[in-house]
Amino acid sequence: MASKVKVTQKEDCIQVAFTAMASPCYLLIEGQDAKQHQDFIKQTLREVQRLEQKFSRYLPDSVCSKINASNGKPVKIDPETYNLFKYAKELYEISEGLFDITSGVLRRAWTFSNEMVTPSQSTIDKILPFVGWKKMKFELDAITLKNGMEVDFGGIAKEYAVSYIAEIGRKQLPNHSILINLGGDIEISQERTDGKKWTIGIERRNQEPQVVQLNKGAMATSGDTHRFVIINNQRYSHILNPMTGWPIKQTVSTVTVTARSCIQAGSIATLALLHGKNTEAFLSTQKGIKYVVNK
Amino acid sequence: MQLKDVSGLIASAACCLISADVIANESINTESDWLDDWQIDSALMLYSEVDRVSALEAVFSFKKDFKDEHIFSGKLVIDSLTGASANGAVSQPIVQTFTRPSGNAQYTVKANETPLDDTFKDTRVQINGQWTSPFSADITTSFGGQLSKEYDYLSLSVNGSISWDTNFNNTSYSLGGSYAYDEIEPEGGIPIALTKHYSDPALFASQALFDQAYSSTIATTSSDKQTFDMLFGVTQVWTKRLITLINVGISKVDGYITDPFKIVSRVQSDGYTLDNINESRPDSRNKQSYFMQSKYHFDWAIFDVSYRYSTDDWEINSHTLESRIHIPSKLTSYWQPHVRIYQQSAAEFYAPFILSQNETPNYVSADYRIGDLNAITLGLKYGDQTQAGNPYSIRLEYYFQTSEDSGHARPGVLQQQDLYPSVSAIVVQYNYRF
Repeated sequence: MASKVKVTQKEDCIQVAFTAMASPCYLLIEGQDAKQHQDFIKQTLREVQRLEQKFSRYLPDSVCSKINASNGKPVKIDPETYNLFKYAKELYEISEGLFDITSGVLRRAWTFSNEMVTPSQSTIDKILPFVGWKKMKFELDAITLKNGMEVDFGGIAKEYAVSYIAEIGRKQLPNHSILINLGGDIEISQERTDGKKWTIGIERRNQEPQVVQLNKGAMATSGDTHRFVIINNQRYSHILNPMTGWPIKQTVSTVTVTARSCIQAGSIATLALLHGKNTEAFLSTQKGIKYVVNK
Repeated sequence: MQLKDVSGLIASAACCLISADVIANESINTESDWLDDWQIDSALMLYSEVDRVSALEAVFSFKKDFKDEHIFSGKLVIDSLTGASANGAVSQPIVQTFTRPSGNAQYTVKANETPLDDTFKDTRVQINGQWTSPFSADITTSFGGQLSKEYDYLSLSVNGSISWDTNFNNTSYSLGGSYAYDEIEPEGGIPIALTKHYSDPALFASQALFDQAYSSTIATTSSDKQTFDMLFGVTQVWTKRLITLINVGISKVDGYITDPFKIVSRVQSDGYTLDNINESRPDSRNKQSYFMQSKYHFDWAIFDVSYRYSTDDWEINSHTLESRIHIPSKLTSYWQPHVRIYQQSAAEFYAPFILSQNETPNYVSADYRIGDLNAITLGLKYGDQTQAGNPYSIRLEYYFQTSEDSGHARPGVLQQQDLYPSVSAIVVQYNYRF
């Protein structure tokens, strides 16, 4: 990651472009002196890398991979991992089981690759016993999965990283507005001192990006502009319902939510997609947020 | 899962997640932190007209963000004006004598020179405060007040505005209004409009008789005017690179709008001045203005172009075309060239002089500032920041103004006089943010 960092001076901010979590990422800092913010830029790159290495399910040495390979044995967790599990538990409860970090195991049947054959109901039924938050033992310092279960921090780890960097920015650069953007999930540490707003483009399918101006808060997008599957003329998303083992029927391709923090925005966007045909109805009942839905 | 509002639950869970990890050693805001929150900008400006007025101005701006979009801003301006300003009389091939506005002394102007009153001297202190706060998620309100005091002038004003952001903050509508009360109390009093400007005590049997004649032209010690302004604006973000702004404003001034220091020459058929009279302007002025601005962000620079059209019931119509290009150079510095072109038509009662053989009109002023004029400003600004990260900038501007011949036929000796002298000025400004 560190090899591909590009620092550019824009008209009213410093832009640090890098790649992390398989996405293009940007750190924008109000002001014109990159040298002055070197420590913060380095810390951001370090922390993003650390969080990716800790919570990615694709990296074999990550905490996530260790938990998934634990074969039913308890795995020690640190306070940060505990907090993330605790947050996942709260989302599980708030969503009455729709959001479940143990549902990733269903991807064995639903690969969503080009060669994927729609799995049979019996295949899905064989996997469902390995899905369910309540089948997991969650303690202050350890996590124990039933043999065969897996966890996946997709949908919270990246958003957490964004809010985490923004919070560091608030502490370390109290006189500068910073915008952290990890693959389209965004948070602004505070308002710009010059009163201007940050301009953000939201990617849309077959359309110009929609331009949004934000002076504070956060924005996160769930869903995928390009990926979906068609089964029996029905469009399905890549999001799996942990209770049925089937993907959610797709009525929209992406949901973009603005809220105070990126974690909050990302979670609401994810829960909205889990509501399938009620995505927009769910969004409209949420207070204190704004949203954009792409069909 | 039922459709219910879970945003609050998610917000508090998210809040715990972040605060638990990052805020391990949070400290309470101390007094010094509170002071650090103030943003203070300072500026020092020198404006100097060739052979005429010079102004030195110091500006301190304060801004404090009380979070959640509650913002207080204030400004203190101190400026000092010295120099000479045209009194309105025409130049003559002979020496002319005028009485100073105080009525206490005379000054003379050489032959073939534009009469300038060189006692122009004043210090102004202005303070203002503005409180901006959100009314709801999309609506912001702002209220403010201003006080400005000079030796002979007092101005008080209040303002309020409301703005509504919609379309994901891409469109913003605003409506504002202001009211100002101005009082002028010139040394020597307010002259009665169109009365004779007595200028030469030598023509009187005694100084006492001259003083008596002069004081008979003074109406009162002070006068005032009231100004109402309304402004409606729309700001639209079109793309990541393009933003436009449209404003429509109306302004209504009632009261004493005449300049008590300006006079008009009554000229005989040979071109020599018979006498000078105190100018007279209507006691109301209604103005409309239309303003359009676009900013476009190229990769290498930001172009800012604006146009203003203003029209009023004095028949002063003006066009202003202005452009700035913000060009970042190195990592922290930038250059900003600036050009402004201004054109104005004269007020219907503007006249560089009047003919003594004709009846004096009800309203007349020879003030070149309300005559036909063209002006151009060329400027360059350079900005950077100090080692400590404090932005500063230096601005240098050149202003050149020409007055157009208003077409009044010039009798006799006036044909050889420059009735429409040009004015040029230099502006130097230094800005620094603490």
